[in-house]
Amino acid sequence: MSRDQLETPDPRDPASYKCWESYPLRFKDQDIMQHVNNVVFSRLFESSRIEFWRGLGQFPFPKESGLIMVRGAIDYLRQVHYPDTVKIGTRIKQIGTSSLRVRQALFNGKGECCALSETVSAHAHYASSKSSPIPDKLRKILESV
Amino acid sequence: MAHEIPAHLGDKALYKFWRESKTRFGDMDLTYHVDQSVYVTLFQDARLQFWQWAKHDVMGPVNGLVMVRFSVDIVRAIEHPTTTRIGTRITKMGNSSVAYGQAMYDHTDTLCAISESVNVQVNLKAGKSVPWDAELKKRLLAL
Repeated sequence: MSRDQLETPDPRDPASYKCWESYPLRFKDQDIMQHVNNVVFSRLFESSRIEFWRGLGQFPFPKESGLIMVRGAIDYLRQVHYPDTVKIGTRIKQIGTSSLRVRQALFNGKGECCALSETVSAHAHYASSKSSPIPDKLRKILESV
Repeated sequence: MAHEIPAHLGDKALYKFWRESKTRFGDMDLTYHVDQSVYVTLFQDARLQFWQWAKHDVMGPVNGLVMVRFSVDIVRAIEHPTTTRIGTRITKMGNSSVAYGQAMYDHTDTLCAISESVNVQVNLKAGKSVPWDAELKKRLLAL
């Protein structure tokens, strides 16, 4: 049994996401294998996360300190083919003292889950790169999602 | 002499086929505008979707279209996030070539770019141009 199957709620279940972004694929998203290239998944997840933050009133990001991505992982479950419009669900998985885990899933036009993403960010001062606790104001916003 | 933007391609009434595309965070350059290289990608995607709309397969395996000329006139910078709308039409067909006119608008319906390009139909194995079928050419020009 994979780690994802043990996770609750199931990250492959679209009902576990409230925030959604959709993207019509572009011809250039394909590679020589005639499927959407793995790097494109990463950029679509990134773009969806930004819109997630924008929806929470957190983008553009603060200038001095904020959340810095320290880890990103993608599980590719199924190939995606052009043309199609993919939908990405984004939610917060876990809030730590200074860290944040964000869960995302990418679904094709048929509603099949094609990829899962998990990113970990740390709240830090940009110039010194020193981590600091997530400020209460931001924590409340994150907890309200 | 300064290059004149082909203003007639900005007439929306000329286009029957429209393709929408949503900008992505990674499309932005350091000036926070959509990078000029992305325009090329969006125009390409619109042309491919145009052919699907026109119900003509240009993806081979025997014949395909190769690009022989492409130009883009950037009228206004595109700010992310937006959904662009690109109108695409055939402006001319030669013996084996096809010329397109395209116009891109942002979500405020502001004209952002105009593109002109030419493809040639080729036999992909031989690498040689292939004339258009007369009936197909007639149908495409009527679109």
